[in-house]
Amino acid sequence: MNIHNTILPRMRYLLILLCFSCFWAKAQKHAVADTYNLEQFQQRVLQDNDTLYVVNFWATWCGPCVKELPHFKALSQELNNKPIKFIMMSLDAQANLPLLNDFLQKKKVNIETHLFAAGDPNIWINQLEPSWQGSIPATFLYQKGRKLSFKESYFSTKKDLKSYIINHR
Amino acid sequence: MKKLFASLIAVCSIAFASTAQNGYKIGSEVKDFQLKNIDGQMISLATIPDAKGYIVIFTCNHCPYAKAYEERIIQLHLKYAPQGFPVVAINPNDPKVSPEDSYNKMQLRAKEKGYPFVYLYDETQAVAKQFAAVRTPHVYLLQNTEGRNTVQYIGAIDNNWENHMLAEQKYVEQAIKNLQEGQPVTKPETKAVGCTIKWKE
Repeated sequence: MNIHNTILPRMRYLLILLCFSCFWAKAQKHAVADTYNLEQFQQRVLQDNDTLYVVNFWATWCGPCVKELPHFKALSQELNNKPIKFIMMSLDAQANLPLLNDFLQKKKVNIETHLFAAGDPNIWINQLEPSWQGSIPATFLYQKGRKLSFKESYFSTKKDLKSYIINHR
Repeated sequence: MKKLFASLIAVCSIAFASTAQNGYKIGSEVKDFQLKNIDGQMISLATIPDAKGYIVIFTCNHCPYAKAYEERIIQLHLKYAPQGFPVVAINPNDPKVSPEDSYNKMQLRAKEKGYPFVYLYDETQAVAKQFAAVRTPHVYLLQNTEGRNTVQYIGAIDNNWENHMLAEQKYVEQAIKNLQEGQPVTKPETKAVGCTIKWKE
């Protein structure tokens, strides 16, 4: 039996399949959101390490939020190898988790995303930031288990977002 | 010199803080305004008869939170206008930024839903700035004492925007009840999520 005639063609086939599935996976890459309560959120962002957490509160229906989303996408890729973690906290209605995930897929959002279901906003808004009036988008920076900064407005360019992060870290 | 510089900075930052917090607080007296209603009439607080107060709500057409509260705003008016607390709804959004919130669309929406209250267009956004409203919906409950209107409550309508049945705290209703009993409002300020007011660019 000749090895060239039997195993190699099969391997070639496998290799092609593997490459194809890699491309497929890459094309399909997007985040899948789950639901987070206040405690889960705080555990996630208030970690005692050097990672800078850039947290954006937004919603799929919020015009300015969706407008600034590409800046977050681009910057999270650009700073991929830095100790910076971008997190999107969606304030969509809890019942709309499937819609949120459709949105993430459609817009190819590959940033860690959670739907924030924290109960009474009059409690959690004040807990996260007493000066927050409750409008979105709003962006927070956390590092070493504490809040570094908070901004209750949107970023019109990627450059603005980047300098905000650099100036406040 | 160093000391002078430090105190200068302190003065500057105080000035900064106060400009950032401009606008009405609890107890502030409200300057009357005049805005165009969806029927073309110019409306001021003083033109609304027999008001013991006003439920001023900055709201709009497009915002999902405003939409979620729309029915509750109608119910608030139907319940409290006969008791002397009518709803005064004000749309402060720039239609260039949010086309859904144009004057024509306001008229359409009000007609479709049969708004029983006035729905005013804050074209210059001066009134929203005067109140320092930041989001929609954003409520300011005013009390009218012989023509002097003072702010008694600022915040949300209740504490569950997704489902009114699950709202355990009906802030506006509670505040009106307090006023009717001659008491200070027990929870004068609350926070809620909302859409940012779409300011002119």
